[in-house]
Amino acid sequence: MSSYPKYQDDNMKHDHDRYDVYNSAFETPIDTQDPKKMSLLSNNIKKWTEFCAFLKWMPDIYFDMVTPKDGQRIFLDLYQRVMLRLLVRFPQNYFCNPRGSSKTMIGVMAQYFVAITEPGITLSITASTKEAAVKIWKEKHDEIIKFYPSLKDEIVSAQFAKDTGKVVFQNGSVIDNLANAQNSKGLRRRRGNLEESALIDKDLYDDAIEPIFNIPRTTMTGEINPTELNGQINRFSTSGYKNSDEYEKIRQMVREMIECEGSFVFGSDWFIPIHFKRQKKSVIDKARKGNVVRFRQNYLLEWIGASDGSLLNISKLIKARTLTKIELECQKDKKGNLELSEIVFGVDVARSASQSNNKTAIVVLKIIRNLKGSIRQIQLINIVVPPNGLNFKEQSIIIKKLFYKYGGNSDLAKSRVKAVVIDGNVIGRGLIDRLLEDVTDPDTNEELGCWDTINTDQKTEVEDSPKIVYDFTAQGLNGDIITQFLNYVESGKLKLLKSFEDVKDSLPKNNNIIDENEILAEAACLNTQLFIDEVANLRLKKTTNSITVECVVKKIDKDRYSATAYALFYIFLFMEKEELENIEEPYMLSAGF
Amino acid sequence: MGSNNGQIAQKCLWCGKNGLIDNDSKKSDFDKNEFIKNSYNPICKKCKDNIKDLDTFKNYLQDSCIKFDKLTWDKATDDIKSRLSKQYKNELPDNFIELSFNKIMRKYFSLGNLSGDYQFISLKKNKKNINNKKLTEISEELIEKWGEGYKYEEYLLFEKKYNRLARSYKEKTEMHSEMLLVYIRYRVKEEMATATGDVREAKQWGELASKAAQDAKINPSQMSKSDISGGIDVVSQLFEAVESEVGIIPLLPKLLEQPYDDADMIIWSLVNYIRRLEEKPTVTYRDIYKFYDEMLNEHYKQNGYNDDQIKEYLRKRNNVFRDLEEIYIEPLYSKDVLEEDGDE
Repeated sequence: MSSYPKYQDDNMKHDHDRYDVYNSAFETPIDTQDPKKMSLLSNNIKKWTEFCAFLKWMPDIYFDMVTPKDGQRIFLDLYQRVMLRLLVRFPQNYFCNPRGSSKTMIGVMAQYFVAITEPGITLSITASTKEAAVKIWKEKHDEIIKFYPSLKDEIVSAQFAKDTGKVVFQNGSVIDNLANAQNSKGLRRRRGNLEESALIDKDLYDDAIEPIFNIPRTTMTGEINPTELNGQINRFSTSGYKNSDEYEKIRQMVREMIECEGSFVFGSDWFIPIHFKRQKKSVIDKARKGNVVRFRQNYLLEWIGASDGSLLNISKLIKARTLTKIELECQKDKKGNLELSEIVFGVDVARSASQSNNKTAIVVLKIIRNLKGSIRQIQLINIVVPPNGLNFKEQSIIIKKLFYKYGGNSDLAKSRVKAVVIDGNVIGRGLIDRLLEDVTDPDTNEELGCWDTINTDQKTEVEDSPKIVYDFTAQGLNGDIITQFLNYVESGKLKLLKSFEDVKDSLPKNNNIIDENEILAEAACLNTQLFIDEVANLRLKKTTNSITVECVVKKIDKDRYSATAYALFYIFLFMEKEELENIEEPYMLSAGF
Repeated sequence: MGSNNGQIAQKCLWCGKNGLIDNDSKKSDFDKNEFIKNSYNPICKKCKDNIKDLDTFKNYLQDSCIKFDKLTWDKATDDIKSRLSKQYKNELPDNFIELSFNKIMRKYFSLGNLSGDYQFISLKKNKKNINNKKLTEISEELIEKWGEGYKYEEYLLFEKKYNRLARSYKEKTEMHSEMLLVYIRYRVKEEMATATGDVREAKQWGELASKAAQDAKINPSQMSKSDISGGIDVVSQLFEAVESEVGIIPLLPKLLEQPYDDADMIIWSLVNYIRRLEEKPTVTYRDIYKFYDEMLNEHYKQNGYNDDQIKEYLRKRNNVFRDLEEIYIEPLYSKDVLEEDGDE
């Protein structure tokens, strides 16, 4: 009846000024006056055990106990208490909460609490890379120590370096950081938190991450507690894509939650942080005007994309995000010569539904071959989206400048950029026309030259211009384009850039406060994310004659996808063939013997 | 206590009045001879005359922090009887306490019978008393602990100090305990030497004691935080200590059985809400945590326990909570209410 003030005893009512020595409610239940036994602990072991068992079940009450009486402090909100309790009670938790709902903070607090209550346990905090994990964790660690100063006494040492963090507790418990990656394979911890779990693919999880948490902890007396939550994995994330492994995972966990099998899924949209005054409504309103996909994922917590008939399992694309090196121009060797690489541009000119202007996407694909010449990788090293409102001429200048930046040359034998594939349907026609004209860069007065098309007889301004532009007409080929796109993704040949957080550290350091390259690199990473969003939003549409794709949410464009798909199809048509010719010769020779 | 022209000012223990000890016994408020012989007896003549019956005598002893022991008392009366004329062989005179007060005090209720924390630090007499005392009631255990060759009082003081210090001293190993004993021997010797006013001896013992204190890490400056607090000063150490004692800290049955507060109610409601969406009946609060029972079942299966072994394991596991097994379920969460809820 503790929740009825009328029936509460004084112990519940007063949490300070407990000076009345004659009030039995304030008396400690621990018998300190037994002279026969020296140990207070073994003397009152039942009471201590009850106290420990109670605290283990009620982490929020522990944090209330250690909240300082005055000074800087925080009070846990009701939903945070629920989260903390779930974290110590259920073997599997999924927290799908919006930005600013203190997911990470609660996660780290729960880890610290478990470290205190389970002597000798090993825990881990994980994120996509070790660096990211430390960065998040260090910040939260400082915050926890600031708000709960007495936790400092529980900790023997706390070390944070660039990519490693380690906190050791008085009872021998250790927390460290791991990456959600293959290099964490073989390590062993008892429990773990997976940050941004929506980005983890199933293969990686099954192969590398789940086995980390398989071995149980032994207690101080060498026993194994069967009801201890060994192998507990808590996922913290905003929502991801419907056609991904993680979506299946959360659905499965909801089913387990219904059957009371030890899983708990705790989710909310932006109402919770607003209700508890953790965020301003204006932030939400501002975000609502921004990117649709980001808003739906970060604040509405909707799993986006097509749930049935989707183009592909989006986990495959997320898994393909392995490139850490951003190439904003053609790489050079030590002598300053351009690297011998093959690059194909894909350009899609679209009329955006959400913005009334032409919206163009330029993708840069780099081809990596093996010694025999067959394609091993196609790296999507950059996606450039020119600002809205540019006319075709300005867009053509951007494409031509990009062409030279990536080692393009009017002498096709020397040119690193082999082709610029442009969607030549109604709107794209305008851009092709401009590319076939001689043009001068208005900023630098540099002559950018005039191009010719590879596959059409369209007249150019200057005769014998280099044949660079491939006028691509998708009509009738949609089925093949989709098949080849899927083929390159499923075979793992297509590689995408990692998120900017992960590649930031590998960028060359520049002393300039505003580094242009860094901004471009961030844009490239962001566009890669948008590319994935676009693909997730696509659904296959079958008609009697053909197969095509359509957007599930009309507001989301698909120009980045189209540009990539066209370029990939071009590579399939014309560049894969090269290897066959190369291979043929030695094969024939050997056959002659 | 001060001196003026051969006179010594002294406060009476009994009436609290200040008096003088003078060489001239008529002028003196205290019995000088007795005062020198029995330094523990600062009682003025007037008060002494008032002690006539056993009850007053007991009161006096109590105020002087001297233990009244029936056996000793019997011994004393027997002794007095034997010295008196035949007339009193069977029955002592009424005023025998008044007559032989000094003798009784000197012989039977001297320093060795001091009780409590009351200690006299006094004149040179003290030393003599201690040395004269024979080793009488010292147990084998004590001799084994402190070594042979000490005097009765020394064993007593050793033990007293040990009891006081050991409480706050975390004896990590046997070596630590040994060093504590060494320290106590030296320290007690030093105190005794100080009491008798032997400065040189006290200094020597003191040096040895402080060296031993350093070795045993008893000096407050050497103690870590956990030493001072008796080993447990943070919650993590408490959990470590409790777990070392009980092995497994079990789940608290009453917390599994019913919600404790609003947060628990929310967890319960969330599960029931999502079940209602699937058109499934609501569950009791205990059912949410039934997976713990499954975990235990898996453990039994894995270890091949039979029913008896399972019972035994559960009994052992919940050993510390034996008294808590019967759970009081509040009427609010009783079955009827739940069923009504479910029907709605």
